[in-house]
This record gives sequence, structure tokens and C-alpha cells, in this order.
Amino acid sequence: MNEQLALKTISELLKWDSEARDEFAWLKLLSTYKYDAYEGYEPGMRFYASLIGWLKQFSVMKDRKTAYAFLKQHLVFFSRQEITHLVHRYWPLVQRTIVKAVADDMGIPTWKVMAESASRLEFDIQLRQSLFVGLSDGAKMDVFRRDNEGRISNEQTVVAHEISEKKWSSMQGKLAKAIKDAKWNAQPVFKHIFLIDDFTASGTSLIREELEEECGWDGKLPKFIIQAKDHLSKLSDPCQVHVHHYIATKFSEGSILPLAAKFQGQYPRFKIDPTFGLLIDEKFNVSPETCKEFYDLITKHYDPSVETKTSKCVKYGYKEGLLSVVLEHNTPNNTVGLIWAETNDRIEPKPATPMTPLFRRRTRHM
Amino acid sequence: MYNPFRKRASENLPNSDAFLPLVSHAPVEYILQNHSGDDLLEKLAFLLGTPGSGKTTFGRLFEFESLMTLHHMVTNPSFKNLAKVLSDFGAISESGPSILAARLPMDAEYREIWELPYDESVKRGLFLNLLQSRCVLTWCNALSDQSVADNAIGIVTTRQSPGALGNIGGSSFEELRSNAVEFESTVYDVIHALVPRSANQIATMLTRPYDPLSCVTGFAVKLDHTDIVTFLKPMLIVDDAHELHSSQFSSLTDFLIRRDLKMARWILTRYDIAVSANEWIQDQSTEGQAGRQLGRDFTVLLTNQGDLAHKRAFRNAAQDIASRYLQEMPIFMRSRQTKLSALLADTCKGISPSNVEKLRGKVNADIQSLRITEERAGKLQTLVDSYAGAENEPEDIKLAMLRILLHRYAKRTPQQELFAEIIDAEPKRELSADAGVMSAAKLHLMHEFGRPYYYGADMLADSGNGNIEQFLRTADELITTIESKLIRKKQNCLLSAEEQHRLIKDVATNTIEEWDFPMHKQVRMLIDFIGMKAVEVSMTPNAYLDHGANAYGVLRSDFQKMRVDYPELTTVLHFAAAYNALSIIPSYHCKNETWTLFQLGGYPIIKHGLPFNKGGFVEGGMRSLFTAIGGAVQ
Repeated sequence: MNEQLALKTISELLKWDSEARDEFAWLKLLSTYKYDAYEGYEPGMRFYASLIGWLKQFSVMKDRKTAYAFLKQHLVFFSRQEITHLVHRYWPLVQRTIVKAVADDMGIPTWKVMAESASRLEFDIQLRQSLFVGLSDGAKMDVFRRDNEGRISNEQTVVAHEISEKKWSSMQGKLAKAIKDAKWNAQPVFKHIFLIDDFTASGTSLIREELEEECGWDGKLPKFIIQAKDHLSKLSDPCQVHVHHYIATKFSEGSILPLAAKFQGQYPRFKIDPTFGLLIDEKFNVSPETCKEFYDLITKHYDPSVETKTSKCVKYGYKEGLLSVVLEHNTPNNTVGLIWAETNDRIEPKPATPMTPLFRRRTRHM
Repeated sequence: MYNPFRKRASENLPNSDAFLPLVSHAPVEYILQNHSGDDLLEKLAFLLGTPGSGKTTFGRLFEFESLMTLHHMVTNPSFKNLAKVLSDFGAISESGPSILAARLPMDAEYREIWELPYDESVKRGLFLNLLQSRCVLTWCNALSDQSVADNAIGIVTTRQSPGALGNIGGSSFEELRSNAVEFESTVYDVIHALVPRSANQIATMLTRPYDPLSCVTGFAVKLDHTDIVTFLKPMLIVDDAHELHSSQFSSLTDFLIRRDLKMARWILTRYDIAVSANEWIQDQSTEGQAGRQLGRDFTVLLTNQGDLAHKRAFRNAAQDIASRYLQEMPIFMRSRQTKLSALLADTCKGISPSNVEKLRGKVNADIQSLRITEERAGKLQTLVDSYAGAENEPEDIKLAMLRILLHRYAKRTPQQELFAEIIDAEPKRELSADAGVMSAAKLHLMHEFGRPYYYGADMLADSGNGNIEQFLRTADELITTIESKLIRKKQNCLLSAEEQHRLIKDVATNTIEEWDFPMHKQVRMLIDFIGMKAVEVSMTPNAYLDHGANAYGVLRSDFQKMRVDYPELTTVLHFAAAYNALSIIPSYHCKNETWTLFQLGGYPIIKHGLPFNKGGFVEGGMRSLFTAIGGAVQ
């Protein structure tokens, strides 16, 4: 869309006068720097066109102004560079984790680990005895692997958490060969498993109690552990499972930590250690305390036809997450629906308040 | 959307096709005025200016690529004036460029040589070898970039034996180039070594003589694939020389001032190391054992001589540059709005009617309190009407002018007795309503009623204070606002006086807030002190300084003792002058005394609401300035 025409349309929709100068500058900057790169747009569509459609759905000027103010002051958009930066930041944490494990095993202070040859050797061994597993495509295992070339080998990274028997055997075989080649006195077992994901809002994707399941648990972490139980010979005893999210909400932290501890109680062979790269504070949520006008708008501007069996009501986001977060590759469903939900234009009868998204969400669960 | 106003530094423009359309001839013409090509191409020339005053643009203009482009585009109306200025100077002839210049910015690499752990003579050798080899390579590259084949280039050298020539530079073009590559690589190897080479190793490396600049006097070149041989005078332009260490700078000057050099050589620098251009020149003249004489040994060019001609030239240049930039912006081209003055209102609707009434009340109150007769007030009103009426000025200006004249009248007549009858005495000096009174009236109205003062194309140009970069920064704010109006298809995209005033004030205030150069806090304290004093004086009811003040004056004799009496203040002034916060006028004659004026720069003037007119100053002493920057008075 022609930038000049788009800016003119936006200024008309928001009835801008002298403030247009500063708003245009802001829109040009943010669309170039962040929003145009959103991967959920349809072909040929960019941020300006999406914003125009989003604002147009509000018939009252006050609502348009409220929506625009939310976009400017409250929305949190993680660009690819920002997430990649969080991936870069993960290695120091991995290193500290292994240093601490070596220090504990050898009964020495952590600062000595890299300074003395015996502990340094043990560090190298434990690093090779580590497995890095992506829990989703958002884990950016490609970036992580390239970022740590020379530190970890390709055979230590896995892009999916459901690992086949053949893959387990192959990984252990390569670990055994590496130990033999290096003439290390070590067992060919994995001592550290790093489970990596990009984002969690409620923590339920990672771990939740589920009475309908045989084991009483569901989520990526229980699935991985239960599957790993069939490969105990390939794992050390105990086996450290470090679960890391690049971005998480404070709420999810509060949910994951006690559940992980409870789960570990049932599977003592595994020592579970959840960590988070960046914690989003609750002040970024959409609530009457943080942005009342927008909260009122999402309350009244809602179309129930956007709900699915899985999602249920998304007015305040999935599970009432109330998030204001958008990731460059997709918008989390815990983010309030007004940002991402879209009314099917073929639906009959037409809803009273059809919804147009600002950042269209690609849905995995239909 | 492309906005060239934000490019500002000419280094950001990749080639002459992007660079030349944005260059105005006016500042070039101004810098070169009173200087012939012979004068500037035979001996060492310094170009002095503050940051952003156009030194690099000036130097880049003389690069071979620019001159070739201008030569080819000489009939293009956009380049006609520029090409003429350069032809008059002798940089371009009918057959093509007459100069082959190498512009070498003195980046960190050169400066780092002075940090190496060697004797100064060794460092000097390394520095000059690098400078000379880079100069030769830049010449070679400039010619090959214009597709001049090696066999179409001949070098003209001094009359030395071929053996000597081969040793110190090269007797052919190929030899000149291969020697330069070799010497550059040797020096590069030394300055980028992880562990410094030993003094012995360096001594071996530097044993071979290398002095190509002393032996090359010209190039005989066949340009544009023709058989016509053009003579090119070699030239070295050392850009940003202020980046060098002071003793390195002296070495460079000693080297380039040599009379045996037959090439043109210019040094472009700020006068950071001195508080004024004059002092800088004086310092240069006393450098070296033999002494140097301005005119005999070197020439000095100034980007701003602080004269009226510069103000006029700068206004023209600002208009010209703005038009060129606007032509590069599609939205302005499409709407045919490429003349800056046509986009900026040059009139102001004045203060509100209620404020006019308030002002009228103040005038009447003054008539009463100053004990002026109605008849005299009427006469003064007639004076105002005849001047302001001819200028078509609104009521608020007339009232403010009358108020100033009433106070002047009161000052020029004997004091009246409080309870005696009012006497209509003749003033000691005749009163008149003129441009000075009108300017003061406008200033008073800005401070008292918030009437816009900074508006119109000339005022915008003046806000740059002779500094193109500063002008572009301010203009960018206004242009962006006009652009937003054009996007919204506003019928009237003219920027009102009120909008201009507000935007110009904002950019000045914000820029000063963002200062981060050395000692910026003290500089800010200094300009705030001068600014407040100047406002105080400018706002006196009789406006005895006419336009108002924007400077602080101390006796020249006190200023000369500054380095000894107040060394900290000297350092603060040094940075204030280097970063356009103020300029120093070393000798200004007034009231039978010689003064040194500290005149505020464009943004400080705007921040404090002062006039751009020069000459008005507040009298004071060095000690007050010293106290103003937080110095403890002993």
C-alpha cells in the first residue's frame, strides 16, 4: 500500500491535525523497524493496511483513539532480532548450569571449575553429555546451534521433543564415539537435557495436571519425561532436565515452578530446573488498572463466533491471559482477542460486532 | 519516505551523482571570495570552520569525481552556478578538470600512529609515509575510477635524476603506484601489529627514502578516451585535521608548508585548539623555529567570517540548499512545492485582541506615570504610524513601538517634579521610529505576550548561525510538519508563524538539552548566564540597544589575561566555541574601548528568545563568567 495514501487514511480515521507530524514519524519508524516484518500478514499486506482495517471496525471515534493509544503505549511486539538476542543470551546460562553441576559433583567452588584442569575436563565431558531439545519451532534451534558452533555438536541438538527410538540410539552411539575419541573416562549417558521453547503465557503447554490422562499429567514436559523413561539406560542417574523459555509471563512462572516440583516428586530420577530468559511483568497485561479504556473496549467489542472448541472465549485471551504481547512469527492466543481474532466473513447471520485483527494469528489448534 | 534534510553530513552521500545535486554554489563562492586559484593552489591553505559548517562538502567538491561530473554536466541548470564558481577559481577548464585531488580524512588510523611507543621522529616518518602513500593511491584510484587507462597517464616531475626519482616516489605512473602500495603496506603492517615492532625493525623499514609529494608536479592525462592531453595539478586535501594529536598536527603543517612542494595542499580543520579563528592563525604564525607568515607561507579560508556578506550569502545558500533538498522529496515535487520561502508564512497575525487591549492599557499607564503630555504622545504616535504604517505592521507592533518611544522620550528629557504641572520638554536627542525600534517591539511582544518572533525563511536561515548542518536540522523539523500537511492533502500547507516559532524553539531547546560534548554542563551554565543577562538588557522599557543583545562583552585587556587568570574558563570557552554554543569576536570597538564579545550561537539565542542581529552586548567582567560556570571566586 502506498505509504502516503495509508498515512492520509489513518490520519482521517483518527481525525489528526497538528499531532499528525509526530504520529507519522512514529508510524514510519515502528512499521519499518518492527511491524512490517510480522509474519502473519496475508501476501501483499503490511502493517498500514492492517492498522486501517483494525481501526475501521470501530464506528465510534473515541474507540479508535483508545485502540490507537493502546497500540502506541501498551502493545509489546517482540521482533525477530529481539528474540534472537534472547537466544544468544541463553548460552551463558547453560555454561553456568554445567559449571555449577561440576562444582557440586567435585565439591569445589564454582570459580575454580574453569581454572583447574581436572574440573575443566569434567566441564567438557558434561557439556558433551548434554542434549538440547527444541519444544517447538519457536525455540529457534537453528540459531542456537549456529550460535554455539564449536561448543556443542550437531548430534547434541534435536528440533522436536518427541524423539524416535532410532534417534535416541544414534545420539547415544555418537556420544560414545566422542568419549572414546577424546579418551575420556566417562559413561556414554546424557547427564543434562535442556528443553527449550520461545514463549509461555500460562505454562499449560509445558505442564498441567490432567485427570483424564493415565499418568495424571499432560504437556510437553511430562510427555518428554514419560517417553524418556523408556531410555533410562541412555540417561545418567539422576538426570538433570533444564526447561528454558526465552520469554515467559510472571503468571506462568508462578504456575510452572510448583507443578514441576510436584511432578518431580513422582519421577525422582529426573531433577527438573525451570528457567526463563525474560519475564513479562503483569503491568503489561490488559486490565482495568493498566489500561482501563482499552479493557472496556475489549469487553464490549467482541464476536463470540471467533471462538473454537479449544479456545473457548478469547475476549481476554485464551484462559483469560490478558496479554498484550505479539511475537514476530505469530500472536499468542493468550493475548486479548481484539488484537488477533478474526470473524469469518462468510458466517451467517452477520455478527453485531465483527472482529478484524491487527496482527492476524495463525492457529495451530482448529 | 526519503528526506535528505536528515543526511546532513556529506559523507553520507555515496557518490557525486547523489552529492552534487545537493550542493549550493553560494557558500563555495563566499569561501573563495578574495582568493585566486594561484593563491590557494601554490601554498598551504587552511580552511577553518565549526563542526557542520561545510568543510568536508567544500573539500569533496574538489575531488576528481566531482569535478569530472561537473565538467560533463556544465550545461545542466542545477550545476551551472557551481560549475561557474569552480571554473572561475581554475579547478575546471574547457577540456576538463585541472586538479587531481586526494581528500584524506584523518581518521583514527592516523591518530593511532601517535600512540605507538616510538620516538617522535619514527612516528613522524610512519605518519608521513602513510599520508603520502595514501595520497598517491587516491590519485591513482580517482583516475582509474574515471576509466583512464594507465598508458594514458604520464607524470610530470621535478628536475631530478631518474635514480633519485625512482627512489623517492617513482619515475613513471606504474612505479609511483607500486611504490605507494609497498609503503602503505609496510606502515599498515607496523601500526596494526598485535605486538609493537622493535625500534630496530622500524629503523630498517624506514631507511628507504619516500617523498613522492615533493617530486610529482603534475599529471598529463588523456581524458574521456580522447587524444587531448590535459594537465592536472596534484592536490592533497587533509580533512578533519583536528582529529590529530597537536604535535602530529604541527608535523603535518611543517611538512606541507615546505616551499619546495609544487602541489596544492589544503588542511581542513576546526579551530578547536584555539578559542577563535584569529587566535588559531596567531598560534600557527608563531609555530616552528623559522616562524610562519600569513600570506607569505600560508593562507587561511574561513567558512564564516562573521560579516554581513556572510549573512547574505548564508541566507542565499540556505534557500538554495533547501530548494535542492525539496526537489529530492517526491511529495514536494509532486505538489510543486520546492521553494522554502513559499512554504513558510512571513507575516504574523499578532497577539489576541484582548492582549492588544491589555497592551493599550499599559501604554496609557506609561503616559501617566512618565508624565508625558497628550500632545507629545500624539507626536510619538505619528512617528510610529508613519514608519510602521508604511511597513503595514499590525496594531500590536505599533503600540509596542510607541511604548518604547515613550520611555526613550522620558529618558531624554529632564525629570519632572511629581506635583508640578506636566511640562512638554523637547528631548535632548531627536526621537525616531525605525527598524531598531520595531525589532525591539517585536522582541518585547514575544517575551510579554508570546507573540511569534522566529518565523520566515530568512529567520530560519539566521537560526543556522552560519552553520549548514544546524540550519538543516532546524529546517527538517519544519519540513516534516509541512510534509504531514501535504500527506493529509491540506489545502493550506503554509506553515504559520505560530507553528514555525514553536517548532524552532523546540528544536533549539531540545538540542541544547541533548548536548553531550566535553564540559557541556559548564557550557550550558555559561550560555544560560549570558542569555539571561541579554534578556534583561533587551527587555529594558526604552530598548536602548535597539534590536537587543545576544552577546556578553569584556574588555579586550581582561580577555587577554584569561588563560592565566581563569584557565578553567578558557577550556569551557574552547568547547563552547568549537560546538557552536557561542562565537568569540576578539576585537570589537565600542564606546572608545576595545571589547571581546562572547556572542551566543543560534540555538542558545533561540532558547533565550534573543535577536540574531549582531553587535548588541551586555558589559561585564571575566570573573562573572567564571562564577557562572561554577568556579569559586578567590
